Formats: sequence, structure tokens, C-alpha cells
Amino acid sequence: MSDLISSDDPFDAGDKQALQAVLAYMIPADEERPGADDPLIMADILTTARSSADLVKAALAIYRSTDLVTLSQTRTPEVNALVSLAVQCYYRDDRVMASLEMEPRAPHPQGYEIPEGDWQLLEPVRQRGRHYRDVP
Amino acid sequence: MSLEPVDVLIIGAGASGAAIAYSLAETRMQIVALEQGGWMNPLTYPSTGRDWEARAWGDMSINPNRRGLASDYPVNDGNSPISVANFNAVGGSTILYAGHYPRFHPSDFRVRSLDGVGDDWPIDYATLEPYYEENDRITGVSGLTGDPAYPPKEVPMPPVPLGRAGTALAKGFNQLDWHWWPSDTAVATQDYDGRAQCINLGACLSGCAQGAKATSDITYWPHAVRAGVEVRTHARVREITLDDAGMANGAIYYDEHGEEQFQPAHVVIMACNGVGTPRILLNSKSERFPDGLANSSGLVGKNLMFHPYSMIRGIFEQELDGSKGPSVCIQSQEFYETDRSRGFLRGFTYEINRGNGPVTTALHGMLSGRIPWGAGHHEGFAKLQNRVTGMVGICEDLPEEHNTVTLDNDLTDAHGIAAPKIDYTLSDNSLKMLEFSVERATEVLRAAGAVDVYHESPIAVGGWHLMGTARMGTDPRRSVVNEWGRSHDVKNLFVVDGSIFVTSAGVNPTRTIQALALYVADKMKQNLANLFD
Repeated sequence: MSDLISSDDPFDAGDKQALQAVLAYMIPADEERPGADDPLIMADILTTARSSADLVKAALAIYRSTDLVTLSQTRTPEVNALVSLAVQCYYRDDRVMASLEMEPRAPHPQGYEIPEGDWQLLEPVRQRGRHYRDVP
Repeated sequence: MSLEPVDVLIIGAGASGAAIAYSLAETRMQIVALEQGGWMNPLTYPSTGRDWEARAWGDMSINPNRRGLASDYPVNDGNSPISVANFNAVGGSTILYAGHYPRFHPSDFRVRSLDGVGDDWPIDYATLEPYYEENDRITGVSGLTGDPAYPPKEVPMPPVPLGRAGTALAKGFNQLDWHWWPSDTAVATQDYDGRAQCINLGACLSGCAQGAKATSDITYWPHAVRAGVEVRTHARVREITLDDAGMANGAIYYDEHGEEQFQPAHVVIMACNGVGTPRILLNSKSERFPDGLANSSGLVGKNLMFHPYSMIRGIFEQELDGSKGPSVCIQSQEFYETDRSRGFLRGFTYEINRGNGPVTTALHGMLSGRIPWGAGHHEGFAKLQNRVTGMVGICEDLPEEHNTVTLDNDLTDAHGIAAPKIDYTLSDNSLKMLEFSVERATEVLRAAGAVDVYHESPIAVGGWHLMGTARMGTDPRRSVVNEWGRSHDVKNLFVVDGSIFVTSAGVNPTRTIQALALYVADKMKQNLANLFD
């Protein structure tokens, strides 16, 4: 964000106001986590949206010409792009991840643990025997 | 500008180019590989950042048109229900593959004899078996011996963990008395040949920062480079050239500065995948080959095979693995071999995939309507988070001449080279197989405890496997290369990628592509004295 200058910003004040309304409706805040219109999350969305500003503006145009309920029921590439932007920024916010009991970090380098499982489950498969065809 | 001649020029540094370079290096011939991409830096892979899921749809997307990197070329796949997936770099598309790494079955080489469709291969499973073994050793394969769906085979490392998702689905398969087995994977479960063991990052499909996934830039290439092979990166080949005697004598390419270069060579090996190889051959027109190089059969670019994929997911009440762990896990080949009562010929593999991260969960949920906008969003998300798992059905695609790669009349890459155009339709056999795979997967997911099941079929973006467009065979009228990868028309031109597949089998092809490359290399070495006879 810090390397942006205002003249590069493809979104005007009207766009941002409309986007805030859409995000607040799409993923609202509750007692455990912020909404997608949270200032930090929205700033992330605006930055990330710069490469697909035309799609976002097109989605906002649908909202302006209809309403939030209609927008939420619309499945066009523009609206899908807006949803994609919103969730990719929302679900990497530290507070949101904490609310999901996820560690707020990248997967690498720590990685994760998963259970090995019980390979005895293979016993019925072994007992069935060979399962491939002979060839001429 | 003409450079000093080399003995062997390999076009493409992906799965097959790496394998054949490695094998030929022991001959001490001078070998150069031209690669349009660069070397990857694992420290820049998405799993090192918080935006790892988002980048899988951006600069590390499987779709070259979406990715649009300088190393990419556009693909016109508007006339195909399945879009091409690839990656252009040293390592090629292995950079983004899942590492699901099954072998072909013996029956896959005898499709015509067994089922009356497609064609038989000019080689068989036994021919490739020693090369599978050599490839397994170099790649580092994890799995479990004793799979009753295969002839006996050894794997160097233990399997990836079952985890919660694998356990749930294994129980489902057992309940139906269906085959399943831990997948053979190109994922190191132990430290192996300088690579660190898997730590369950869960972002396999956008590059493995750990180096556990066997991408050919970290398996074959380090060995080949140490043995003297040169990899020349950011070198985009335009065409293969011929001398007056009709032998390939090198390649014209654009270097990293966009300058045209000519690299003379005594032998040329195509290793650019089932789309890239026919693209270059078709673009290499001459008086002798007006329809494209090595194309007297007219089959260059024809018989394109993808694997049509179905994707079936179940929603469970209990918590599963989410995105943690290698995406590959177990597989089922219950429906692999032909059973005519099913209404189609040939079969498919179920590749079980564990689950998704939060961004993918939210996006899929919202676009499918399972997670609403508004007040119910968080409750809807909670019902899906870490509670979705399932599989893909990898369906055998039969060769059909009308499925083609040709050159686009208008679309070009950044160097003005014609882009490939894909014309592809799903056969009736494939459609029936896809439908069957969805129905049976729904049964097993329900048996495993899924409370809801959904699917996508075919996966529109799932053109991961590109095969058949320069097929091998003994009849020059019905094939492009002979039984060891040498062009029928041009005796010092070889093809070693998925283009030479005669049929596609119902499994991921990379292990077979690499075994074939080792086999072709061995044949070349055995015939060095009379290679061009």
C-alpha cells in the first residue's frame, strides 16, 4: 500500500463508498470478527483490486443500478471477481484467522501436522486380491 | 546470429526434457536445452506468503492466459470445453502439478486388442518397467507396495499420511468393498537426494517451497547440469530448421533480450508437451514439409487427448484436514478396467484430494450459494471450513483425429509466433464415463458420511494433461514417431513428451512421460553408431 500515490488510484470517492456498502453487506461484522468493510481489510481489497479495477467498477455499477440483494444474487464475471477479491483479503486478516482458530502465518516454513492414520484400513483391500487385467 | 553447433539440442526443460538430458549426459555429448521460462526460486512460491491462496489464481495460476507471464504464450482454447493448463519454467508443469504419480497399467498399452478402440502402443508395460524403476529412484516416489491394482512394484519412501480426510474416505470405500490404495506420489516423505521431507504445507499446486515435491528443476536438472548439460533460459523457440538433406540442423529462437538466434545441432529433441511440441513442428514449414515438420502422416497436432476430469466434493459434519497436508492422498481404481455393462469403454482413477484453505472454501461456498451474503455468512462458512473433501475422476480420453492443436491465424505470443489453437469435443464415451464417475463418487462420499455432495464435470480449467499430438507407432502413415521416439520423416528429430502417447490411460501421465524419456534416451545410446539409419 505504501508505494501508491493517489493519482494511481483507479477508485474515486464514490466507488469507495459504494464498495464499503457492498462489503459491509457481503461479510458483516459480528461479535467475534470484523466485517469486510473494516478499514484495514478494505484497504487491502482496494490495493489488491487495482489489477482488476474495471471488473470491480462494473460490479459496483450493477449495485448502483439495482440494490444489494440483487447484486448478491447476480452471477456474472464482474460480481464473481468482486466476491473473489473480498474473500481473498478478508480470510487472510489476522483477526479473522484468529477467530477461525487459525494461526495468522504463511504455511512455509513451519508447515503443519496431520494425523498419519491407520493403515490397517487396507486389510479388506488386500484380501480382495489382484485387481488388474492380463494383457495379450 | 549462429552459435557454435552442439551435439544435442533439447527444446523444453520440463518433465521429459529434464529426464532425457539427465540420461544422455553420460555420453559426454555437448547438450543444450532451450527453455522459454527461467529457473524458479522456491522462496518466492506462494506458500511463503499470506496471500498463498490468492496467488494460485494469479501469477501462479495453472492457466497461461490468466497468468500471462513473459514466459507464457497464449492459447486459443475457446473451442474446447476444457482449457489448457501448463507452466513455463525449468521444471515445466511439474512446478504446479499435484505430484499424483501413478504408473500406467499393462492393459493401457493394449487398448485396441482388449477393447477394440484407440490403438495399441508399439511398446508394452514390460518394456517401460525398468525405466519406471529408474525414474522412481531419481524422482523419489512415496507410496506403499502391494497395491492389488498393479503388478508388483517397489517405491522408495513410505506413503503420505492418510490424515482425517483420507481416513474418512478409506472407510467409505471399505463400506462399499471398493478398491483404494495410498497414492504413489512425487512427494518426499523423507529427506531424499538433497530434498527436504514434506511438512504438509498444503499448497502443492502452486509450487513447493519446501522442495519436497519432485519438480524436475530439483530432481533431474541438478544432476544433468553437474554432468555438463547447459540450460539456456528465456529462450523461446520459433522453428526447427532443416538442411539440404532433410535432416534437422538446429533451432531458431529468441533469446532473453528478444534477439533472434540460431542454435545449430546434430540432434534435436522436442520436449514441449502435447501442445507446445505440435505448435513448433507446425510452425516449422519448409519446401520439404509444407504442412509442418515431420508431418507426412498429417497427424502432427491431431488426436489431442486431455483427461476429462470430474470433481466431486462431500460436506462432512466432522472436522477434516482443510488445506493441510499434500493435496494428494489415496486413490481408487475400482473402475479402472473396462466393464461394458457400465455403458462405456475403458475407465478412470479417483484421485482423492484433501480439502481447501479458507479463501477457497469461502469462494466456492459463495459462488455455489452455500455461503450467503449477509447475516448468515459466518454460520455458512463454519459449516464448510475444514469439512469438505472429495476426489477427482481422471477419465481416459480416447484419441480422435478431430481433436486438434493447430496454429491460430491471428493470436501470437510476444515474439510474433502463432499461438496454438485448440479444437476439442468430449466424446460420448467420455461423457458417459464422467457421469458414471460422479454417480459412484457420490455413493462413496455418502458412505463415508458426507451430509451433502456437489460436483463439477468436466472441470473446465482442468486441461493439465496434454497428449497424443505426435503419436508413436511403427506405421509412418499412422504415427509421427517410431517406437523409440524418432521421427519417421526426419531421422535426427526426436519427441519425448506427452505428444507421443498413443492412448491416454486413466491416470496422471508424468511418471510415464519421464519413463518414456529415459527409454528413448537409452535407445539413442544403444544406437549411437547408426542413430540416423
